[in-house]
Amino acid sequence: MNEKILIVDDAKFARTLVKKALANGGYDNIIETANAADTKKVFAEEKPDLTILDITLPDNSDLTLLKDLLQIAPQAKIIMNSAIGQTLIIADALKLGAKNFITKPFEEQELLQVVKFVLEEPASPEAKPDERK
Amino acid sequence: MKPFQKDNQLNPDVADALYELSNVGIGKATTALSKMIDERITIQTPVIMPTKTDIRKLVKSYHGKLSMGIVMRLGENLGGVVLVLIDQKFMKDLVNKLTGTQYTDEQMLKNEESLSAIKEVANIMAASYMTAISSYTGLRIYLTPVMVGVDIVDALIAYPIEKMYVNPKNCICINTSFMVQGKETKNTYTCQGNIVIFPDDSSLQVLVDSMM
Repeated sequence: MNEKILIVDDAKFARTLVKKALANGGYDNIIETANAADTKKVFAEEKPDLTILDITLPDNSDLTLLKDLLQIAPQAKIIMNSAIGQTLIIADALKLGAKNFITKPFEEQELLQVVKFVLEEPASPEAKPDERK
Repeated sequence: MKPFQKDNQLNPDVADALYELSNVGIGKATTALSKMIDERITIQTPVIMPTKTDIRKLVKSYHGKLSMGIVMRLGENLGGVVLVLIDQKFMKDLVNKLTGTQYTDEQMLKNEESLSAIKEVANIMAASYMTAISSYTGLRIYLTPVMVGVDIVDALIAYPIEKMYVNPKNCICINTSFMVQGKETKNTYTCQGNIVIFPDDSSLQVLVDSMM
C-alpha cells in the first residue's frame, strides 16, 4: 500500500515495533522522526497520509506537538500512540483532533485495524485552527 | 486532610488509599509487561513505606545491591519525580525476550536497541501506574524520562535527590515483588521492584486531596 505513514517516537525500539506491524499489514511507505522539532519539519514537507504520534519526546511532554501539527494541517490524520493511557488525556487528544488513541503496549491487529479505519475515513471539513485551542 | 500526622506517620486513611491505588497501579503495569513478553506475571500485594523518614534510610536493606533505575519527571496536575527500581536480572531477561538478542549486562546498557527497549519498558510501566493514579484522582499526569542506568540502589536513589533536588523526606515508596512464569518452561522466578514518587511540596497535598 502506498499511503505515506510518519511514525513519531523517540525510542527506536518502539518505532521498530510499529514499523514491523505496519509492514505485516502491507504498509511500506514509512518515514520516521524521533523529536518534535524534526517532526514539524518532516510533517510539513512530506505531508504524510497518516501520522502515528507518541506524546513523550525529548522536546515535548504533552499535547503541544499534536496541536502544532494540526495547526500546520488541520485535516491531518493523526493517531496517538502512547503508554499514557489516562482517560482524561485520551479525551483531550481526541478533542484536539487526533483520530484515535492506541495505548502501549498494543496488539498488532489492534494497530492495523485502527490504521485501516483512519486511512479509509473521509477527510473531515477543514476545521478552523482557533476551534482546536 | 494532611498526608502526614504530627508524629510523621502517614495518615492511615491516606495509606489505605495509596495501598489500593498501588495495587491497581502495579496490576496495570504488570499487565502491560505481561502483554509485551507474552508470559504470565503475578504480583504480591504492595507495601507502602509509612513514615516521613529519609528515603535513603528506608531502603537501607538494599544498600550495595545492584539494580536498574529509571528516573522520570512528572508534569501537568502533579509535579515531581518518579524513580522506578527493577531487578537487573529481570530487566535483562525482559530485554532479551523483547529484542531476541542475548545481551550481557555490559552490552545491555551500551547497545542502542537494548537501551531503547529498556526505556520503553520503563515508560510503559510508569505510565500504566500513572494511569491508575489518574483514574482514581482525576488528575492529568505526564511523564518525561530523565535517566536510565544500572548502579547500586544507593546511587540510584541519590540521583533525584542530588541532581533534581527532590526532598528525600517527602516521598511515597511502594515496594512490590512479582513472579514471572515462563509460557513454555513453566519456570518461575520472583523479582523485586520499587516505585518511589517524590511529589513536589504542593503536589503531595494535591494527590491526597484528590484521592480522599
